[in-house]
Amino acid sequence: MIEIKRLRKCYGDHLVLDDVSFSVAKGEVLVVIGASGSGKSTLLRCINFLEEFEGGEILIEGSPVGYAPGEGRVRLPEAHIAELRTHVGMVFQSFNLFPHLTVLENVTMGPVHVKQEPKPEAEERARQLLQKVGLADKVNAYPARLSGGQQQRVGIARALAMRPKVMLFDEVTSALDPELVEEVLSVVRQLAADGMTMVIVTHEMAFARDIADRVLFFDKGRIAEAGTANEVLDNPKTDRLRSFLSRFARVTRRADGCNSPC
Amino acid sequence: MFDVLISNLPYLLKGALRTFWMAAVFVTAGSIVGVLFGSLAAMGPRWVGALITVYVFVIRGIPILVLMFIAYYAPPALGIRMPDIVAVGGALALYTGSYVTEITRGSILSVPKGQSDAARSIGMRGPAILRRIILPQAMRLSLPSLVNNSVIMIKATAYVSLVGIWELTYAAREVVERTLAPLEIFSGVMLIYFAVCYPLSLLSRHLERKYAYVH
Amino acid sequence: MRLDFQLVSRLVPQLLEGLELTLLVAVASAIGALLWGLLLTWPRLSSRASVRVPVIGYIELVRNSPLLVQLYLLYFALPMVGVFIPAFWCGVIAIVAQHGAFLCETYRAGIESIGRGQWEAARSIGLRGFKLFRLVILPQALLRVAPALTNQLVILVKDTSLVSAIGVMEMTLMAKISIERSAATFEVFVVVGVLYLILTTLVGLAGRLAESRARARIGHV
Repeated sequence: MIEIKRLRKCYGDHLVLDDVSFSVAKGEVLVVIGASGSGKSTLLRCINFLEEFEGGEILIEGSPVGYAPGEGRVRLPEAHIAELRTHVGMVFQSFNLFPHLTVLENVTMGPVHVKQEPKPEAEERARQLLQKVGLADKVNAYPARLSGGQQQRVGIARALAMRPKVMLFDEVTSALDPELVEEVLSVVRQLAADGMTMVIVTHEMAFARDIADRVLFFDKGRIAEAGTANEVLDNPKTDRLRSFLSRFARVTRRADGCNSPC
Repeated sequence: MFDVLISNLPYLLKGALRTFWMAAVFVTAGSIVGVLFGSLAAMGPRWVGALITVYVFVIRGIPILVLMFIAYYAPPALGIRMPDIVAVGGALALYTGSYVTEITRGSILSVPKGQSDAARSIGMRGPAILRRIILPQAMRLSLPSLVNNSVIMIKATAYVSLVGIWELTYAAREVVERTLAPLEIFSGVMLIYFAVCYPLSLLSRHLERKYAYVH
Repeated sequence: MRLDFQLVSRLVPQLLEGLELTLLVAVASAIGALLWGLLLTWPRLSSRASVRVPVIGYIELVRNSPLLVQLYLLYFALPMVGVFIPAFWCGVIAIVAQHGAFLCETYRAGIESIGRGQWEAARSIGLRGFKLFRLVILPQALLRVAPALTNQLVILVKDTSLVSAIGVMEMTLMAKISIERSAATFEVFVVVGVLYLILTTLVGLAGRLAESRARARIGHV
């Protein structure tokens, strides 16, 4: 479904993504972990071309992202890029709901104004999606009135409304109060169970272990380790990954019910 | 084509001098009143603040031109003898004052309360606190707005030409009547105003950026 | 102070005629300025300097010179090149030219205050170009700068008094004429002042009301 070949990106002098290559199969759930600044969010944002990149290639079902294939780094036309984005759903860390529109309008914005679907059908489908994420009663509310967890679920519904082929989740629970995290994660789990292709950047290790088909550990712009959740999270091979995971060790152990000081 | 402008430039520049002199005098007078009223409104008794608010509200709700006409026609009607320029200048000063009052009041209220608390805790009393601690900081905060206000007032001086007081715009009309070259003269005069106001606008914006990081 | 009320009340019909024209000028200019300012926003924010700089040049020129001079320029210079526009429309055009420039800067401030996340979220569902701007950015920007917009419209209403200088029979000119024609003196201008005060207060109230109702519904933008 997604192929990433030798992706390279710089911010000025700083190399953010260094020769990154991997692929994501249809229906696969790929989780990307790593420290802040390791490049994982940037990677995600390159996939739907919210970030430009200097080297390498990204293909989604064979279609190139951002630049025409071949030499010369010719940027694809805006219309083309926008069309591609309709197939890639993104959910943001800070939700980014449109505050001047109701929840329903947020979700129908894409289908109605981008895909030119008739409004009644779009609204019907939006209601179904909002039902699915547990917000059927909030259709006419404005985002400012919702909790973070509710806003994020609307964000997920908004992305799903475009019937994307792949969903990108950019640290979608990092900005949430702890008690609101689970309501969002359970929606994501449901999506995975339904067979959606997903790339998830997250700090939630227990969640990652549950949901991931594969895990990538990012360090300084490169894939430092890759494998199944079991391989990467439970049997780290490199020191960097070990020290990274040790920060989370206390948290995950407590989640298992450890009562003594860890 | 623009020879007409160039040959009349000395006369126009005299008018410009008059304009900026007027602006300087009346804006300064108005600003002094404004700072006084603004301080009173921010830190004085409530009823004083209310009166000042009414003054500001009324002056700012009426076009300057109407204010000037009132100032121009009132003294003769009331039997007071006064040079036109003093009356009209008074209107300009009142107008400036209303803006400066609001600017001052706002900036005094923006000075963190901690400042006056600290001053009081070392034994300073009200007027001294205002003079030494609050006002200097407030004036610094209000500098961008005050400079911006001076631009507004320089532009406002053009309206005194409508009550027969001679300055740049009046001179411009005289020249146009004589030379029948409105395009050249009026654009030239626009540029003269621009030459003074634009740098001031830039200064105001620069000051705003500079003081944005005060705290 | 002798306020001759009888005299003043006889002049009221004349003043109300002037009020009618003041309102016409105000409404025409307001609509024009709001739209013109919006139109200017696109080139003003263009990434191409060749587009941006002339617009900025125009905006700065118009903001840093008196409206009266711009009015004279339009009214007296245009006939010289064969363009005859009635005083009313000259006035409207001059006010639109100036206030549009101010409003453009106001719109710009509003647009630039919209966080990157909104642009990204809109793009991520495939929106782009004018549609993105119209549906996502503009409404938020307008709500954010609503107080400044209201303020600018109040100033616009006051500036309509200037078109009296080119003979448009709005309130200020009517007052001036009535002084010359009758025994009335400055009291007329006081009455006119009160009328302007009512106008500007109403505009200010309307603006604040519209804003607070939108905010009550939507919450924070």
